[in-house]
Amino acid sequence: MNEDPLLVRCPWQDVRWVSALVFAGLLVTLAAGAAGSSYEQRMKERSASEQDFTQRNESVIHYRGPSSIRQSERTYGKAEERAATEAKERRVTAEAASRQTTETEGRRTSGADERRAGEASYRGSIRQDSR
Amino acid sequence: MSLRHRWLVLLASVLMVAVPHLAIGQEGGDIGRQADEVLRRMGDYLKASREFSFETEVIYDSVLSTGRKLQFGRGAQVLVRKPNRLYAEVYGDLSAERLWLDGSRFTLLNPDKNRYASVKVPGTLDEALDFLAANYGIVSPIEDVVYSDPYAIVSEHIETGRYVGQHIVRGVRCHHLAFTQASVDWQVWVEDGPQPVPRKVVISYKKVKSSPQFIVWLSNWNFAPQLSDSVFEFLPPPGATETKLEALVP
Repeated sequence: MNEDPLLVRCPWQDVRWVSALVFAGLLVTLAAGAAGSSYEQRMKERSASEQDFTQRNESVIHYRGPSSIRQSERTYGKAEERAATEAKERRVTAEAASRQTTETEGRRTSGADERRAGEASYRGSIRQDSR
Repeated sequence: MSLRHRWLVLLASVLMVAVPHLAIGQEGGDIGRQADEVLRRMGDYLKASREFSFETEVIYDSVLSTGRKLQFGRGAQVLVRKPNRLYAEVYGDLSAERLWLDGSRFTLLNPDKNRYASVKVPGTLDEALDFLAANYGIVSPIEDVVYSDPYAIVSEHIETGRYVGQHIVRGVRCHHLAFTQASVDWQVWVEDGPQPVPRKVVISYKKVKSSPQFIVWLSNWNFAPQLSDSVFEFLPPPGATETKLEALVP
């Protein structure tokens, strides 16, 4: 056979090339689809994030100072006074609670002492009786 | 202990008590004479003015719960007639408002929503402004200059005050003053010349997280605006609906 191998191709070779081309095309299509999908996904996420930021922005702005010198000091003066009062109240409550606990424990202790004394007395009396 | 040692102990005790006070006396704890003079001149000039108008341009920080600061802007045109009238038109990034004080009532209009609210207020500007701030949290931008005695108002809580120097604010030569108070520090730039008006004010909220600032430039001062009475009287725009003031306060 003197045929030029470049001019004559086996049918199975063509099939292989066609298959390879189709497969490559499929891969490209899938990759493009995947890329498109991830791009859309990213855009959606970004949009959601921006929306979230906007909502957060609206909801969590917790400070907008009084725009005057007089009212600034009054506002913070009052806030500090309020905070000091609340702190004092908390301290008084905590001290009262602490005092109450100490007194209760004191009562418990004295009760236990009384019980022990009573028991001793009782035992003493038994002892006395048994003697 | 010998007599000499006793004297040394006594001297050391006196120095321990006195030195910190001497240091405060040198660095602060009072208002410098020049700063006080300029501030008083500004206050007296505004106090003597019965009717005037000016414009403001404001930028201010809002602090998110994360500590991040966002900056917003607003502007206003303010018309004043003492002792009891004021009109302001405010436009900003977050809201637009118009407000009227007519001597007996305060009215706030949101032009975007075409809704307004009106409440009765005490008679003078001083009383009305304090009433609105205390009861509704409504504070007009740098309303300190509108009070009947601005010097008394702004110097009320000053702990220290210093004259910083002469600086230019938007082409106008000004005296730059800096003051500290318990909760805020503030600076004012007072025009150098026959019309000693404030040209810029910066308030730093030093006890607030992230130390946000409020900055206002004041311009177009007019002390003979020839305002008609109707400027201070509210007339509901066509189709406007009335609501509660709380619903319109941002």
